[in-house]
Amino acid sequence: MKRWIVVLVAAALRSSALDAAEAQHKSLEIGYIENFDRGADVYILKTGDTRRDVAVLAPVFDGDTIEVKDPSATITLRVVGEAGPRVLSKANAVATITGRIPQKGFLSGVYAWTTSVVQLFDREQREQISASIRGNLGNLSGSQLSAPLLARPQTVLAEKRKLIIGWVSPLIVDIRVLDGDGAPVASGRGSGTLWATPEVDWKPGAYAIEIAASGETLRQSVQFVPPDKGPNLPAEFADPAAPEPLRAVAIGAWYAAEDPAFLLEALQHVAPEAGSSRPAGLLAQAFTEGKRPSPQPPGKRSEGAGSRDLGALTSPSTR
Amino acid sequence: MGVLAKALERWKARYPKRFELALSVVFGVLIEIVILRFQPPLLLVRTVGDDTADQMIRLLERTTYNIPKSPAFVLIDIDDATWKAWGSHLVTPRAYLATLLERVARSKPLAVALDVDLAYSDGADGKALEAFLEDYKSDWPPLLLVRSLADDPDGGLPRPRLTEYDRAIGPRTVNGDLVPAKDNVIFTSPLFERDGDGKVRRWKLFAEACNGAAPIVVPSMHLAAAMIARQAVYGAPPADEDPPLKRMTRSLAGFTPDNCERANSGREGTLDPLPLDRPIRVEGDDVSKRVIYRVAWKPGVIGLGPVVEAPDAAGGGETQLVEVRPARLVVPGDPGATLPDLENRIVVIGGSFKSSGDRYNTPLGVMPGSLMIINAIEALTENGTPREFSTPLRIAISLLVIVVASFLTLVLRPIVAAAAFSAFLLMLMFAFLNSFQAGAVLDLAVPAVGAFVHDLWNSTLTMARDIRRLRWRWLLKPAPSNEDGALRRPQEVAKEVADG
Repeated sequence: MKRWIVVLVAAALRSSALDAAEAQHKSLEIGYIENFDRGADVYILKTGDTRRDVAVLAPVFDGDTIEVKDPSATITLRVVGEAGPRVLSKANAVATITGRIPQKGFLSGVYAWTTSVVQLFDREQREQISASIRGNLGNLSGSQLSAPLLARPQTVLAEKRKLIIGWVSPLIVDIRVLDGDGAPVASGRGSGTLWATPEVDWKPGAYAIEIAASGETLRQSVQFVPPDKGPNLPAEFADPAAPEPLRAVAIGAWYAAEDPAFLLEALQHVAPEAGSSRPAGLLAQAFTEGKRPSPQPPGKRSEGAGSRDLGALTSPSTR
Repeated sequence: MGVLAKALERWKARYPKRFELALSVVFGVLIEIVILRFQPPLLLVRTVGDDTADQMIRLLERTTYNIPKSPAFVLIDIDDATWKAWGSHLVTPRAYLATLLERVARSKPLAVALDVDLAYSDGADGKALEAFLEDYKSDWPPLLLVRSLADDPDGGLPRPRLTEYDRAIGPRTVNGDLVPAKDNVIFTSPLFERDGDGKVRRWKLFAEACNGAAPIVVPSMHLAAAMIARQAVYGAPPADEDPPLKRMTRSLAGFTPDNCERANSGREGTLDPLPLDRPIRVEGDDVSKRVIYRVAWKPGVIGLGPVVEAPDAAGGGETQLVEVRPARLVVPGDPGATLPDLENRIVVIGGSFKSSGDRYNTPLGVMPGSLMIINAIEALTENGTPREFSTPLRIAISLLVIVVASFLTLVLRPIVAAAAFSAFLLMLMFAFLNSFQAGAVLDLAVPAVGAFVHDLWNSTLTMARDIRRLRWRWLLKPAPSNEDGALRRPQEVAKEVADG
C-alpha cells in the first residue's frame, strides 16, 4: 500500500515539475498604458532597444523602460499585481517597469487548494437577488403603446357591423374612428387588447383609427371598400355544413394570408369567436400582434411581449 | 452447487479475512454493474461526480501556470467605473457599443463576441449601432452577437427574440438591389445549464428554437468562437475550403428539430472532427457538456488565468490568458482608430458591473457571464468536448477503487476507512490531473457511489447481526467501560436499567 501511495504521489509531482520546467523566459505582458496627458512624443517607451508607440491601452512588457521628457507631463500605467495605478513623470528619470504574474507550482497550488477547501464561509459567493420579473421588453424603448395590427394602412369591407380594433399595451387607451372629414364616427375607452365600436353602417371611403394613451397617439388610415370589391373568398367557405367557428377561423386565416392590408378584416372574423374557440382566440391574438400565417421577412416580424426567461438555462449576457 | 457451497464454507473457515474481502469486491462489482447498466438518474451519483470534477477544476486552476497553445483573449469590460461613467443606464447605451465595436473590429482581432443582449432597447433610436452593423465590412473579423430566446408558454420550442438590428445584417433591399445576409456577423446563443445547487457547470453547444413556424438551431457563442479559434490554431480541415462559421452551420444542420413542438434531445454527432484526439461532439451524457474552467474572476485586475503565447502579430512573447481592459478607455478615442494589442486575439465585450445581473456561481466562484463564455471558448478550443477514459481503463479504475474501498473497510474502523478512502481518491485525482487538463474526465461518480453503497451494505449487515444478537437491547447505548477498564456487555447495562 505504501509503495502505491509513493508511486502515485511521485507520478503527480513529476508531471507537474515537468510543466514548471517548460516555462521559459520570454517577453511577458505585465500591464498597459491607462492614460497620458501630453503628446505621445513626450514619452519614450522601449522594449529592449526597440522604441514603441505610446497609446492608451498599449501593452507594457516586463523590463520595459519609460522616460518622460516634459517636466509637466505624466503617464499612468496599470501593472499586474498592483491595486492602484502607477504614475510616472520626469522625476522618475528612465523608469524600468517590472511586474510579476504569480507563479503557480504544483505544491504551492495544492497548498492553496487545500486552504481554500477549509475556508470558513462562502460569504464572498453570496449575492443579493431581486425577486421580480423584468416585464415587457417593449416598454424599455420608452413606448408604452403599440398596435402592430395597424402598422400599415388597412382595407376592410364596408357593411353594417361592429369594427373590432386590436392593440398591444398594458394601459387604458382612448380610441376614435374618424371619417374622411376627421369627424368621429365611433369612440370609446378600452383596456386589454381588443375593443369594438357600436354597430355602424360603414360606407365605402377613407377612415382613420386613432389610439391614444399616456400622451402618445397612434393613427392609421383605413379604407372601406364595397364587399364586391374585396378579394373573392373561396366558395367552400360558404358551406353551411361547416361549423361557424371553423368557418370564421378559415376566413380570418385566408384574409390574413392574402395581404397584410387585410389583417384588420381578418380580425373581424376571428375576434367574435375568440371566447368560444381556441383556434380563433390564438389567431385573434396573433393578428393583434401583427403576425400573419405566411412568414414575413425577419426585419418585419414583431417581437413577443412579456416573455419569460428559460427555466434552468442561464443566458450570461449583459443587457 | 452443494460442492461449491462447501468449498466456500471451507475457504471462509480457513481464511475468514480473505473471504470477506473477496465477498466485498464481488458485491462492489455487482453494484457497479447495476449502476452502469441501468444508469439510474440518482442525484447522489451526479453529486459525487460533480464534486470530484469541481475539486479537480479548482486544483487545476491553482496549479496551472502556462498553457502554450491556448488562444489569447481580451475582455473589454463594462466594469463599475465604466457603467458609472456611461450614466448608469438600465440598458447599456447602444451608441457606446457601436464605438466599441468599430474600434475593436478595425484592430484585426481573431473574432469579436458582443455579450450584450440587443433585444433590449436603450430608448434611443439605435441608429449608430444599426449603421455600424449595416456597414460591417466583409473582410472584418467574425462578429458574434447574442440571440436570446423566450420560452413558449404553450410548451413548444422557445422563440428567438428579434432585435431592431436584425434587419441590418439580414438580407435586405438597398436602392432596389437585394443585399445578401452578412456571412461574418451571426447571432449566437449564450445559453448554459445551471444545476440545482446554483452552479453553472455545463454548456449548451446550440439552442433549438422556433422562428415563426420554422424550427431552427441557434449556435452557441462559445461554439462559434471555438470553431474560429481551432481553425486558427490547428488549421483548416483538409479539402474543406469553407470558413469556420460556414462549417459550423453545415454541421449543425443535422440537429435542426423536425418541428416546433419539441426538441430533439437524443441526437448525437460530431460538429468539428479535428484534431482527432479532441473533437467537438454532441453527446447525450453529462461529461461531454462539462465546462473545464481555467480562469477565475478577480475584480479590478488587469490579467486573469495562466500564461499563454501572445499572437505573433501582436509581437509575440507571453501574456495572460485573459487581458482585461476597461471599456471606458476604449470609447473616448477616434472610432476609426485601431486599438493596440488586439491583433489575432479573441475579443469579448461584456459587463462585470455589479448591477448587471450577469454574474453566476461556478466551480471557480462567482464570475461574470462574459468570463464564463471565455472559459467555454478556451475549453472547447483546447480540449474539444470532454470525454471519459477508454472503457478498459475505466473498468480498471473502478476495480481498483472497489478493491481499495473493500480493503479499507475490512481492516480499518469505519471513520478511519472513510478518511483513508478520501485520501485515496485525492491521490487518484492528482495522478489524473494532466489527463483532466487535456479534457479526459475521470468520472468517479460510479466507483465512488459503488464504494459508498458497499460501505452502507457492510454497516447494515453488521447492524442486522447485532440486532439479532441483542434484540431490543440493541437500542441501548453500550457503556464505555467498567472501573477496571473492561467493556461492559449491553446485557449488563440493560439489567442495570431494569433494576433501576
